Amino acid sequence: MFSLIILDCLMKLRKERTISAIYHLLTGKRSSQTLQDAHMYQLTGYFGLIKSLQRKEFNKCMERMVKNGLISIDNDGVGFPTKKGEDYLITNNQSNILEEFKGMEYEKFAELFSLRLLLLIQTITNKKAESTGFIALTDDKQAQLWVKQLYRKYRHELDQLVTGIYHDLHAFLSKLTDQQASLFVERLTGYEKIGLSKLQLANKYKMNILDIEVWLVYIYHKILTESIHEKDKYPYLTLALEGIMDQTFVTNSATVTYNMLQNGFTIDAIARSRRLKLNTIEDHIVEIAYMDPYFTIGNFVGEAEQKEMLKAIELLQTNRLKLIKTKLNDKFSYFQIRLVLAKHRLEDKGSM
Amino acid sequence: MNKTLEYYLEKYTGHNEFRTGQKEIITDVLEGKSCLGILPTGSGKSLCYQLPARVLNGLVVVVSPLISLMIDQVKQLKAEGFREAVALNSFLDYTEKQQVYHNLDQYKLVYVSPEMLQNPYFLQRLRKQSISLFVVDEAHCISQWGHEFRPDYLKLDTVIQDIGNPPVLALSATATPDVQKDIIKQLNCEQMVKHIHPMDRDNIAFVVKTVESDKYKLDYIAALLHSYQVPTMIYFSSRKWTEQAAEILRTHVPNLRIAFYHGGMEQTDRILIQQQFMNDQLDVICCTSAFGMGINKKNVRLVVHYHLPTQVESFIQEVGRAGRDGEASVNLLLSNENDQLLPKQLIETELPTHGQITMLMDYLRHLVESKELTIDESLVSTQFQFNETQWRFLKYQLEVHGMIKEDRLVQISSSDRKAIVNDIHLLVDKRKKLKLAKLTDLINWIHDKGCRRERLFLPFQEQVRPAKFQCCDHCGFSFEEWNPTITNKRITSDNWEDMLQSLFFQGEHHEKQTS
Ligand SMILES: Nc1ncnc2c1ncn2[C@@H]1O[C@H](COP(=O)(O)OP(=O)(O)OP(=O)(O)O)[C@@H](O)[C@H]1O
Ligand SMILES: [Mg+2]
Ligand SMILES: [Zn+2]
Repeated sequence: MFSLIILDCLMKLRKERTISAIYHLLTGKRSSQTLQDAHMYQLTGYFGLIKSLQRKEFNKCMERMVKNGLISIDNDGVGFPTKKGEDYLITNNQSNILEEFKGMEYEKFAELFSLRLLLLIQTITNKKAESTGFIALTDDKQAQLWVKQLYRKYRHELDQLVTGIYHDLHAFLSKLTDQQASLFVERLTGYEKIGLSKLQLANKYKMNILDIEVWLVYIYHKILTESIHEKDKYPYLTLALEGIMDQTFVTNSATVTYNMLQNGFTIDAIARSRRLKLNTIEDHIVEIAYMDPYFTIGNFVGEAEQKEMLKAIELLQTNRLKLIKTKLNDKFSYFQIRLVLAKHRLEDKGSM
Repeated sequence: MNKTLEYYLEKYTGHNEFRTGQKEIITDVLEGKSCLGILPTGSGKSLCYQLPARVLNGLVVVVSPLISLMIDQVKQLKAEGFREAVALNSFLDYTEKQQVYHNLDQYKLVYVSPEMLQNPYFLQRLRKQSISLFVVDEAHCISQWGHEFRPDYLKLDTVIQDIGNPPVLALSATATPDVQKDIIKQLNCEQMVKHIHPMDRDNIAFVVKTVESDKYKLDYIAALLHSYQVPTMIYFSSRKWTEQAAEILRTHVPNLRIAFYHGGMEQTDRILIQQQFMNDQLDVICCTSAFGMGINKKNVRLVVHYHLPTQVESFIQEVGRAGRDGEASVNLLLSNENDQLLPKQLIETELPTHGQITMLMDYLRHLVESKELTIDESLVSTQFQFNETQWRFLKYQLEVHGMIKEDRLVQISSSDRKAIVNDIHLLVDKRKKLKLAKLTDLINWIHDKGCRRERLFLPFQEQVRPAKFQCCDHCGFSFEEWNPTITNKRITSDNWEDMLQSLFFQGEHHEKQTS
């Protein structure tokens, strides 16, 4: 599974980025370069999939893929799939499993959602068994608080809650393969049943630990998608979504910039009052343009200028900033070009 | 107080009687007396301050050497419903620490590392609280002659004064009479009431098995585990070894559930593995000493030492994980002629070399001469390749010799500097020698022909009790006569639907349970 993701990334990057870009993407680096790459090359789904991924581990994996003849990496560190790699990707992604990853979309709450669910299951199964002495599997304060409140609400209908979660999970897991469902259930902790660590799962299912890692994310993203879109089908799983989908932007700092823009501040004024560099504020604005479909960039680039740039981009068939800038005789700043690219992507998506 | 201590014991812990030594210590502590408590591993020393913490008004401060140990204990207390307990350590981030600082008055029990107690801001907060008891757990760490060198342990007496001289309780399971004296002296607490109990464990048999070379050790263990499928801990001296051994043993004894545990693992994985072991979901743990102090699983039947620790005290601590329910348990030490190699290496790396010290002093002189009076500790550590223990040791020495005051360098004459370098060199040599001597004690114990329990515990107490079950390999131990209860493995299905059902008490499984 992990190699599928790498292959897909390399395909979409069209040799325009080094493999480091993939590493930053997977670990969810909050730089505007990485965010922009993610959008430009339709890789948002993989953003931040394995936050804890070590560079060394990543490199080892790349080497293994090279050795297996799936990819090649040139001297500049730019990678691309071999013919064998392309075939491998096509045969293994027939049911479009890779589309299930929603890294950037869910990045703010996937983790909290899963912690809530895991802790809830641990808590209610222990309570049902009338066991009080269990050690919480997470120290996350937000998750603990939420479980406490929910439990208080349901303490007199505990059986209903336990059965409800069970049925929702069963219905959802039935849509997965047996192996995926097993991975998920083995990882759960409950009364006198402690979940397996990722390494234990890897040993038991004879998989690489990175594969385990991404399969688990895959399953959680799928639960999220299902429970967001079919709330009625999963009334109990949906409980764990409560109040966690309100934030939209990747960086909190961008949210502040966004609010100030809405209140009529200029870029200069924001930078001055927040004591940040102009560049940083510009990064925020590009990020906002990606995230908010209703954000207008007219204040920064006029309508006609936008058209001019889009034409050039189409002509060049590339998203490379430098090429675009030169083509347009340096008439526009990088900031303006990035902004148009950001906006363009959304318009494109919107007209489909 | 008008209720009996037994009333509180029952109310807060559910136990219905005190174990040896507990009641006397608790009574003294509640009367405001300072105590030294020496009790065997697993005897219930924690209760001696946890119960007072609940009964007394004010805050109980516990100094504990290992972060994982503190975190475990607080988790355990919370699980038992004691919410006013917290562990303060370097793992907490800034805001979390601030939160605890500002709400100190809402806690009744706070665990801290000795290093935390050097934080001036925290001390200032502590001074504002009424401290009802100051506890030093694993108190042998204080002693110069004890476990490892932790300079901040030596400053505890000043801390105690600083926070208003509360009563002090020092606890240990491995302190020779010399160390006991040293603890009292270091804490500056001559009036301490001593509660010294024999610390030998009469339900543990000691076995040393000599094998030709390391590679036979795992074979021996595998064969043993074939016949005795009991909860087992195997100690190694390196993280890498725990991982490799777990993998090899898994192929040799496939029907056993085997995992490894060491300090380099992710926090969540550590909790999972530890909990699985506690919950009898794992049979064998290959671990470093990070899985040691404070681990409190009742039915560990077999503790194996694949590698040696560096001294008898650590050995006793690790052995002490076995048989905490009082049943017949075994410690097996695997020995060969290279026993001392790894511990020796460890000892070497704990102290800086002469060369390192001289270079550091030159560098510091440079700094002072160029009017640069602050030290970038991480820079120094990388530049001179100090590990944490080495740097901690040196920094303390620089403080003692007046070269650092309040974290700033002090100008000194070059003749003074020479004298100091010389002093530190001598001290390093002395400590190395001492540590090697302690290692030799352990090695000698292995080769001694006498009764193992007697030889092991006599330095700590006047008399060693007779063994409750088998004694040791020199008194005729044989595995054939050891009949530990085999824990029943729950049969679990590998089918996800079955697993899910039983987790949620659904379907057949549930009906069987309730009918
Ligand atoms: N009075 C009692 N009755 C029954 N069980 C007790 C009693 N006091 C303590 N225990 C239990 O004994 C076990 C060991 O206690 P504890 O961890 O405090 O030992 P310890 O002396 O600190 O050991 P170590 O030296 O290994 O740290 C715990 O499970 C505790 O619940
Ligand atoms: Mg203890
Ligand atoms: Zn004997």
